[in-house]
Amino acid sequence: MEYGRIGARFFRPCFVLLMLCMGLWSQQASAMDLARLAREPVWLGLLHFDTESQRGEVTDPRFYLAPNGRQNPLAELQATITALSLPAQSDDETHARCRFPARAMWLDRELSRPLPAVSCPRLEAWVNLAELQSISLMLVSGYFGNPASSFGHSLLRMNTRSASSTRGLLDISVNFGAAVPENEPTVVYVLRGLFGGYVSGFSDRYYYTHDQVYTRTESRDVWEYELVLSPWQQQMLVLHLRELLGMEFQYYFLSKNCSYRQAELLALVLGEDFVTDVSLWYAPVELFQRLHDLDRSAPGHLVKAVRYWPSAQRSLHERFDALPPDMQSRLNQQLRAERFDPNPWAEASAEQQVLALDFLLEYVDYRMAALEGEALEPWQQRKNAVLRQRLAWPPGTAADPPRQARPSPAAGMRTSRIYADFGRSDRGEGVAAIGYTAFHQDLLAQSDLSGSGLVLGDVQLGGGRNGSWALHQFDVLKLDKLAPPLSALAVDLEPAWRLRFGAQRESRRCDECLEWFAEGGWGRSWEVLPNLAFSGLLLGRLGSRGLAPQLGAELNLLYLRRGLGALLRVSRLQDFKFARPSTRVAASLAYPLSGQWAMRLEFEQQADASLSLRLQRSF
Amino acid sequence: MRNSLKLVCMVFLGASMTSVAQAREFADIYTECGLGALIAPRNEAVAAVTNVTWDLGTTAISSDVSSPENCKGGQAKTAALIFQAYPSVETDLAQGQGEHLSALLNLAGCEEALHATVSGALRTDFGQRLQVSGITRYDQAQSLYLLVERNTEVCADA
Repeated sequence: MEYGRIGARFFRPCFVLLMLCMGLWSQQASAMDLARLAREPVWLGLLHFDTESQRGEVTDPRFYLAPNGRQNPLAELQATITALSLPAQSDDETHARCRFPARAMWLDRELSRPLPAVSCPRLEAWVNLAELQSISLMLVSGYFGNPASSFGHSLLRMNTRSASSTRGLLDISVNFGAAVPENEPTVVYVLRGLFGGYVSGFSDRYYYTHDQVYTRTESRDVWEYELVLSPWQQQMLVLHLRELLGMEFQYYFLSKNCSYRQAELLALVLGEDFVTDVSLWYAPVELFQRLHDLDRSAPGHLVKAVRYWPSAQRSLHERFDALPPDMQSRLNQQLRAERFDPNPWAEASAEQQVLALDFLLEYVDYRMAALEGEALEPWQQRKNAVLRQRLAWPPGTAADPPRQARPSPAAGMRTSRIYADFGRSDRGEGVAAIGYTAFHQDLLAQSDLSGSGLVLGDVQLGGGRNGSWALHQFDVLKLDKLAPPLSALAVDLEPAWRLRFGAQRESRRCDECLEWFAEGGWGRSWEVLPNLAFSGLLLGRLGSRGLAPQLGAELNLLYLRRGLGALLRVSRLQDFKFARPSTRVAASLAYPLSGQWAMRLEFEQQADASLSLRLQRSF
Repeated sequence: MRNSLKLVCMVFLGASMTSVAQAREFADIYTECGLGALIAPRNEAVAAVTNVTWDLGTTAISSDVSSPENCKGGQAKTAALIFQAYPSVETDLAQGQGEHLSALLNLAGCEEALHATVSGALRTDFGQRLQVSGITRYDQAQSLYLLVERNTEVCADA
């Protein structure tokens, strides 16, 4: 008893002291833990914290719980933990766990103590995680209807288990874009888009709204990349998207655009680097090229499948191609005459009538997608006539024609390149040049006769007369659209056209003959043999030397098959100021070597002739 | 005879009132949920950067994040699909099958087993409505929405 009292007198203060020390140590350890957590890439990713500018890229103050949360990830972490620790009344949608479910999910895993559970009905109604099967990243092809849209687009879709009969039309997709006021003048729009003048953010839509715009109205192909994510990664991505919806970012058309933000999301959940070294631009195709690269080490570990969804235009032509030739001929006559009522197929067999009517419905929908206002009315009348005829027949359509899957643009060459040319001129002089292209989709490196080429910022330095190097060619923009018709359908003939703006030396022997120019061509293209297209264009050119407009014509022969591409181009221009005609002949033969290497044989004849071999590496 | 006449009048009046109530409902959905705003203006240059579909601050019907409370139900979602994808829905109806028709019936709460029956009845009604011409996209969508409402009642009972 006595020992006990002495012991109590002695041990009680020691115990209190020990507890105090432990408490201090624990607080210190906790502070150290928090400091460590605040530097974690996942936390910085959740805050979209830019380590260069040392602040979060979300400009919306609602995204931060700490007053200095945008600049201080540790303060934001502490504020988040405090907010998550608060008790919640039932269904408190303003609770931090409902507003920042991804932060909560990560902290649940990282912190040793449990955070209180809160019910968030709106979040649960937004996405049923039990129904969620996978997430797809969609690559939308470039849109030549507008040069600014030529880079393509990307968006995310949350695939649910019950979407098989609707091709995911009712699945939620998340897009990133800028808020552009109505009727914004084009110049203002370009400048604000390039220099961060627009507010932007993530928005959610049912996928059918995107399908309407991209596949039908703009007739763009879509490649769906179904991702392989662990349940944790998948949930993390979905919850983070939820907390980003409606939050404001600054928009930069070339660099911090839709694909950049989606790349950030993938970096967050995969722990892989997607956006380092992004300096001047980040094209959508680069995000998908990175996915290809990461998946290459063990194919299928990151991308489960790549599916091709053709544009409305391609689907229409594939359906037409699958029809018997006599039906094609009759349909062409009917469509040229725009005769829909009375039904010109009334005497045909039942099978032919249904086939024809289903094709006509698809055709009318395709034509109407590009129209609006009063222009729609006559086409709606035509469609009503076809609908009435089709409704007289039982439901059910013929099976879709076999779809020709087009390879993803991301599976091809990278978009930047360097190259070196070596050769000889007709005077026996050596030809040497080196060049760099900032962005290119090579006309001669396509998988089929799509005939589309885009070059931006191509600089070529050539060996000059005195052995010095001088600017030989500078393409600011070079656009080619030389595609032949997609099928024998006679009424959907798109023009062939091309546009080029830049500078070029008139002759390799003349160092001072650099001329700025703009040239454009407009005409038609035909597929004369399988894989061989012929096009004829009316050509116009305006050069800086003498400012003399030139007019003329150009003929192109384009051959593409299994990676081999060849182009023969002959153009003749008449200079009206000096009445001096000029003829230019150019031939290119391109062949891919291994990986990102390719070679090219070039022949050119204008003021002088030269033959050269180009070795290029894309990156 | 007088009773029969009264009954006919009551049925007619009831049907008219139902129709008016449903029409108002579509009009309400259209205005309150910003269906018109969802069809972005066709400014090619602007569309290129914004990719058309993004409208920060504008109401949207596609999820409860960006839509008002009364735009989250199945009716509003059905109305939105009909209005926004009308040409595709119309074509699917004529053919009696298709992804947009399946999506529409799913949104209207019809089990897959009932799709053939419901779409058959809907197809018949739709064929009769087509005799009317020269109506706007809004009128077309409203008319089809009413047909869908009427023909999918059976799905709720199932």
